[in-house]
Amino acid sequence: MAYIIASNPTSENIFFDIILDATYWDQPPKLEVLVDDKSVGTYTIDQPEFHIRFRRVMSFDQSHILELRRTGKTQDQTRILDDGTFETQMLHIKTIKLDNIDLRNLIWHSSYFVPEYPEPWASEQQSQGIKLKKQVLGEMYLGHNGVWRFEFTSPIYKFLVNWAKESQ
Amino acid sequence: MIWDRDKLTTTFIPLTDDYLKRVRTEWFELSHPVVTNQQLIPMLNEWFQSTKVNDLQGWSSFPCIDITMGNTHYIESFVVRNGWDGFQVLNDEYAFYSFNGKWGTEVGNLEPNKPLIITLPHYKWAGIRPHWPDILCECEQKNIDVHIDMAWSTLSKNANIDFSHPNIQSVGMSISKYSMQWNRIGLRYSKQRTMDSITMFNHHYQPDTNSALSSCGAYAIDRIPRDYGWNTYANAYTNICKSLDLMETDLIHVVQTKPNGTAMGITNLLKNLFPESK
Repeated sequence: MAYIIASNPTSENIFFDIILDATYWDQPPKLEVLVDDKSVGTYTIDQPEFHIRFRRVMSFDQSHILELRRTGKTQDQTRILDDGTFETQMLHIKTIKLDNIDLRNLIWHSSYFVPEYPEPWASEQQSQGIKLKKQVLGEMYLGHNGVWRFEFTSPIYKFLVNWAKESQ
Repeated sequence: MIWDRDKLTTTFIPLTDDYLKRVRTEWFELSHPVVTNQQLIPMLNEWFQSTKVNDLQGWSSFPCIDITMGNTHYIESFVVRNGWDGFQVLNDEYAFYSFNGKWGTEVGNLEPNKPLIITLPHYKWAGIRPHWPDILCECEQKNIDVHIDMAWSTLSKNANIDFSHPNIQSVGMSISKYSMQWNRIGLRYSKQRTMDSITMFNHHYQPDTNSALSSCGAYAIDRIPRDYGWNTYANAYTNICKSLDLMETDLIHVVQTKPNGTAMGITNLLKNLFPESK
């Protein structure tokens, strides 16, 4: 008997969820979200549990990049208080979900942040012998401006299975 | 023939007879080739599609097909994926949900954007829910993904569903209602594969996982035609209904009493009418 076989899919339409928190005393941080170099939107992170949710079609079996471009941190956003403590602007990436799955540990192990170190702070650090990393693995607290990246492949279920197998 | 009305039951017993029992006995007594999950998928897919008494359309919209350990596995995988508060059911659903504290919603009051799992055909109406077109329309308007538990479809006729409807995301089917509860196995058809326990079972575990189950599934569908129930018992079913003044339904194991349409099980009257039939 003849029966119907569907053709193999070549892509999937998945949800992205990005949940963020920010601390600031003056201006909130800004963030541009990109998938595969295409901008999804620019956001001002001025509320706790700031939730960005969108959907994109991802082609199978090729590399994709989720990119978060953090901006809005200027020198005057950090101040020292009379008691010696300081206040600054900080952006926290709390949760990243792809296809409704929280990728927590996977993100911690494979995402990276490329900070833009401000001057003269960066030179001062170097003169004190402190080597600043060009890329910080698994960084979820973005104190500096810079670009956070996470590379993945689609379909997501296969990406997760492969990650689990490689982790064993 | 005189039929005993007292043999009608308030519960619904999967079809059983001597032939189906013999299928079971011979499975345990004889030796059989090993059939893996991946080998079974096209066989089972062909078997489910081979129905002549139902009108199921849109098979080509399901590129992802996975083995399940029956439809309870289909439901539980869906529940794990969405979380207990992350999906909804309608009133009069399968007891699995209410036993676990999940209560139904009326048609028309579904929550937007929250996936719905629905049993079709349904025991209460002994067929497809009468509001099925309205439900689909509501799901379209409210952006609700629909997942269909078709566990009883092997015993149904006149089920008319077009799977290509954009809100229908997955369907679960099982062979277990042919007295195969001792070896529950089925398929999940889905438009897009998500990470969940069925995906892990099919794509993460070893390829020979539960090969006893899949081998037995292949053995069973080789011996039990897809429409075995209606092909074997349709005339007897009609005779019983006429004789006992009952209403016929679209499920071979269910009749309805007059005048209220209360659903009753008829399996105990049907079984062993044709001991050697196939």
